[in-house]
Amino acid sequence: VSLDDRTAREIAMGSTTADFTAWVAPHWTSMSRLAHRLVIGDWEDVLQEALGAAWRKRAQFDPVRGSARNWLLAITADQATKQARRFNRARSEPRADLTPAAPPITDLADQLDLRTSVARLTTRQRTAVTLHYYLGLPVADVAEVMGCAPGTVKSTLSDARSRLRTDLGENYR
Amino acid sequence: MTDIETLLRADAERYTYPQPPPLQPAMIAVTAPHRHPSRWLATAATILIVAAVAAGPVLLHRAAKHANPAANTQQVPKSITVNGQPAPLLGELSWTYAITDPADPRTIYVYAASAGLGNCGPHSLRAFVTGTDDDAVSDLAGAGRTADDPRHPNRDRSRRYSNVATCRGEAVPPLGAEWLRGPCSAMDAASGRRARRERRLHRRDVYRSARWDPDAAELPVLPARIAGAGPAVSHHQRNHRYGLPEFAAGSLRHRGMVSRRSVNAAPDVFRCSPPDSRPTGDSREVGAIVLVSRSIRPAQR
Repeated sequence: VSLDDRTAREIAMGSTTADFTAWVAPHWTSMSRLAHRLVIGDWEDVLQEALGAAWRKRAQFDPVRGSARNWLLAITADQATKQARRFNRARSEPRADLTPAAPPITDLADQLDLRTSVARLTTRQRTAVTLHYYLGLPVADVAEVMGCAPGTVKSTLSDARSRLRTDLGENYR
Repeated sequence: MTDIETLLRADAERYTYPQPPPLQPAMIAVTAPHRHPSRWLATAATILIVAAVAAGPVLLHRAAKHANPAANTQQVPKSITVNGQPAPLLGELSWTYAITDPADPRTIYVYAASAGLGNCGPHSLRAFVTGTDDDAVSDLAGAGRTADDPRHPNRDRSRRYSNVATCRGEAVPPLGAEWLRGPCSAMDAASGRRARRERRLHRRDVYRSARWDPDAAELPVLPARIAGAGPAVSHHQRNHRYGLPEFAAGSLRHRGMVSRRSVNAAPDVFRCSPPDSRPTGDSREVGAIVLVSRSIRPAQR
């Protein structure tokens, strides 16, 4: 356990919201991005749910079991999953609020296809893809966030890629 | 042929995220414009969102997002501060209903109905504003405000609201304090099977008799609570029956709305009221609240 993590735990356990805020702040952007990527619709709701859950569960944070970032991301992903269950929206609906990138990867159509296809993935696959590719977490960290073995993450990512391939057509491998 | 992994990584680089909402702690103090708590009724919509502010740091952005300075100044609190800074005032939420307790002006109950906040009837019971003293349970029956009460400062709004509240397809009256607390008159009865049966039948009768009739001229009034009696319906039962979310806030625990455990789990969240919240002159401060809620949003989002 690093000194930073020990300190983080003490801050997380702190009784004031200011302490808690200071503890969450470095990871706030990641939480926000994850929520934005995973949630169809009101990602801010999920984000605030996640923060509320983190506040309530802060005593459960154990730096031995993982970093503060992963712990917070796990809570965010969990809340996103719950939201998906609650609303049970059709995953085939493309997100309306996806911001078009400035220069397209190949062309705009490809990009939109990709994002639509990612949105069609299962919640678990989308979580893995988002954490690994969009947030840049290594597989070990993704496994920590998702609460599974690294091998499971790898197979989930593999499944997601093959589904994307199927979705996007034969121009992709 | 394009590699999917390459495509994903390239997309990740170009993906633009919105700015995360501000993360800052919030403590609120609300100053009422009038001494008499009935005037608070009209402030319910605003209070609701203030409650959201108190619920957690992130919620602050939501209040700002929906701020409507054009709201009728006659109907908003005199001032709302968050961490000592003026807080944005929300406009109106079309379907809100509140009852205040004349005997305890620190306590404000806000009930937000479905259409304004979601689509799930009493699930949308999102926020309560309450004072510090969670033993200050007093009889709210005297409030006597109904949607048809001409003195009801929020009359039209309440009427509108009352047309939309449903719970699992069943019409539900706008929740007054009595309704929220449930009938408790049988709780002092002797224990034992007979007493339990009586309580159960009594509850059933009360609830049946109180079932809301949208065409009725007046809203139902449930029997007031007997002083000192415990809640007739546990919060689990109540939540189950009315789909209430498991929210916790100060005096609500005392009223059986929430469990002691949930309050104790985060005491500083659930009781963050300033200790000095007694009425002073023409203004009074109402402590922050306490609900960590799902979504609080105006009807037209």
